[in-house]
Amino acid sequence: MPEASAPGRLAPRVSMLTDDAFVYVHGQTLELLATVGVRFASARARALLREAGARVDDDSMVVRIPAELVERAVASAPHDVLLAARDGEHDALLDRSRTFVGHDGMGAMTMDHRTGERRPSTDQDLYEACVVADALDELGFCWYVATPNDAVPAVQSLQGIVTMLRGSGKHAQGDLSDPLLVPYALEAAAAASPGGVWDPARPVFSIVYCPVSPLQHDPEALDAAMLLAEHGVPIVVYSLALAGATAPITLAGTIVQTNAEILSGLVALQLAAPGSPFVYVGNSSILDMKTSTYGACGPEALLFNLALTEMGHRYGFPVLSGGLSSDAKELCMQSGYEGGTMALLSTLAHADLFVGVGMLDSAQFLYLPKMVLDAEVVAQCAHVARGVQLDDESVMLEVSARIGPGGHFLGARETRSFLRRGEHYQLKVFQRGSYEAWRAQPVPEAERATAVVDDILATHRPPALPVGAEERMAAAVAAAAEGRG
Amino acid sequence: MSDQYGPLKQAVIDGNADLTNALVQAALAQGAAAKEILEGALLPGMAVVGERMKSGECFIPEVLLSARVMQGALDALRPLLAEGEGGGLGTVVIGTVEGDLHDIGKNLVGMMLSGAGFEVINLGTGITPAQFVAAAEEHGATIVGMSALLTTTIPRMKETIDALAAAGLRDKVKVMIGGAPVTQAFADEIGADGYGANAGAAVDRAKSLVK
Repeated sequence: MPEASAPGRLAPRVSMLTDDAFVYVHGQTLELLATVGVRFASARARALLREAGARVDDDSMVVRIPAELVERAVASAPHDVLLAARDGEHDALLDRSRTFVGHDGMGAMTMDHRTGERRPSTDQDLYEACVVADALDELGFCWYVATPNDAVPAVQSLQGIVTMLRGSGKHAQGDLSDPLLVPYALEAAAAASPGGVWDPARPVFSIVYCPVSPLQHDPEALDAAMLLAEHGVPIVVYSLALAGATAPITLAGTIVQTNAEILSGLVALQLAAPGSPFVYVGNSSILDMKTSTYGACGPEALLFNLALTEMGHRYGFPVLSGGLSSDAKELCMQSGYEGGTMALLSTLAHADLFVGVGMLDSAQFLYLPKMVLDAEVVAQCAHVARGVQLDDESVMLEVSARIGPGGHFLGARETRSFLRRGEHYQLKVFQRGSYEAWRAQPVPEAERATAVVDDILATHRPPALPVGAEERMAAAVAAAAEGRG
Repeated sequence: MSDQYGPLKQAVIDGNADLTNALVQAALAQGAAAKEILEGALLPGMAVVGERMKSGECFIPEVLLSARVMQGALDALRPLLAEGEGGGLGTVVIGTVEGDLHDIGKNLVGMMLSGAGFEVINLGTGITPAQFVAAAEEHGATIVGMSALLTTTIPRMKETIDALAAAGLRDKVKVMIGGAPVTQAFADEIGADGYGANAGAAVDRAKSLVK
């Protein structure tokens, strides 16, 4: 055997798309867009698309998008996107070098960890979920994890953005599907930004925009997204196709349709705001054909996630992928398996972002203690992604020689040194140790996680907002409510 | 009766349109009454399909196929049925509320209600309270069904219930609601009569409301 030099760090990576597969999926996508087309109910989007050379049928609102337009949009979107944190310390720069993790969303319900009651979520639930995210190092940004049902319905999504900005210094990724709310959202974000001014180079909030499968764009939501894009707000395009119901039953058909829906959204956004920041979402799901409910997790979702995450990366986009979601109704093996496998695969696919923290029941309800358990999974995934350092110092042949056959490594100073440098992952909420020790004081996992949540809520305070920001944000919501009322 | 109509009932269960139609025509040619075919074969066939769906033995697309076959047979029988015999469960006006384009769940419920023997008028998406009221009046609805996926659009449900009341229709129709953010508590709060957590539960609830 020839002598090899030390390879350095070995980091695992999962991949399933060959070059041919990418070209094939892209080709099928272009054909779907050019022949079947996409319904754009937004008159503004149709006008932009017509002007750019797309074939528009105003009666059906269906736009057939030529390949050249798609390619131009792909080329015009930036490869690196900054999701700025208002605290200036937790910026998420999406440049394929790191994976940032956020909440699941957007749920209408909360399982109250204090009472065990599952009830409509409130503004306070969203605030608490953001405070917990602010305190947990494993979370890199906040998602719209709970709908503030107690806010005025017409301004709920705006209230959500405000509450996320209040609850955490990390980036807030919300929802805004009403174009009339855009100026109020920008005012609220400006108030929360350093210096009290909106800085398009440092957007402290971004928006998740969802096409309506199959192949449709909601007029108001897309108009809002286009307006926001013009102001530098990053837009995350998340197609929520359900294989077998709102997309073909096959995984291949759903992958192509999902890709087509995302790219059609991208085309409109890049026409409205060339070069505006965009994030591709590598995730899709199925309709459970026995219960007629949304199936967010399972083998199909894992395959969608892997294939689409890689599609997005091949185009050069930052990608948001699925993660810790579960279809389970409780913390259990199902929730751990479903959430953990997708989180690990998204990590090893080098997704720029993944979501799923804190919810159960297919993203139907928030359960704060799950955030703590999910954070442990995220930390372990990150440790796996870090891989193995493979060099002479790490192989430790010299130490082995010193200790020799039959000795032990516990007393070696290198053992201590590597441990201190994090060679082994240290459990936080999960447990090891002897059965007897556990049996003497058995505290269920959920209780341990609940204790962490209670401690965070009692002691952690999110970074202060600029002076006067609270008042400005409240005024923006009030003005919007009046304007929309 | 069950022996006589066993093959027809099975054809409905299997979702075999050609065989169902042929057996319906053969039964009519032999002098069977339309009501007898409906009650002896078609509805019992769909009842089996409904049970199999509940027990997880069959897939939703198979339920829909049987429902479509049942509808086709019913279309052939309808001119021969006396007033009030047309499946007998009444008319459901169904739609997705204003501001919401998400209608897969509503369509699923609509198709399954048809299969269960309801006349279903599917209004589509983006339906305003006034449109629900007008359709309920026009079709003499027994049930008005509303769906929404977005939490921002579910307030339209209460507005529709209020509009039905203002039009003097509230005591003539039952109101059902559904969609991911909808709960029984929400249904109670806005004064809806029924809610189904999934399509099968919605059909059961609809049947119980018209009994």
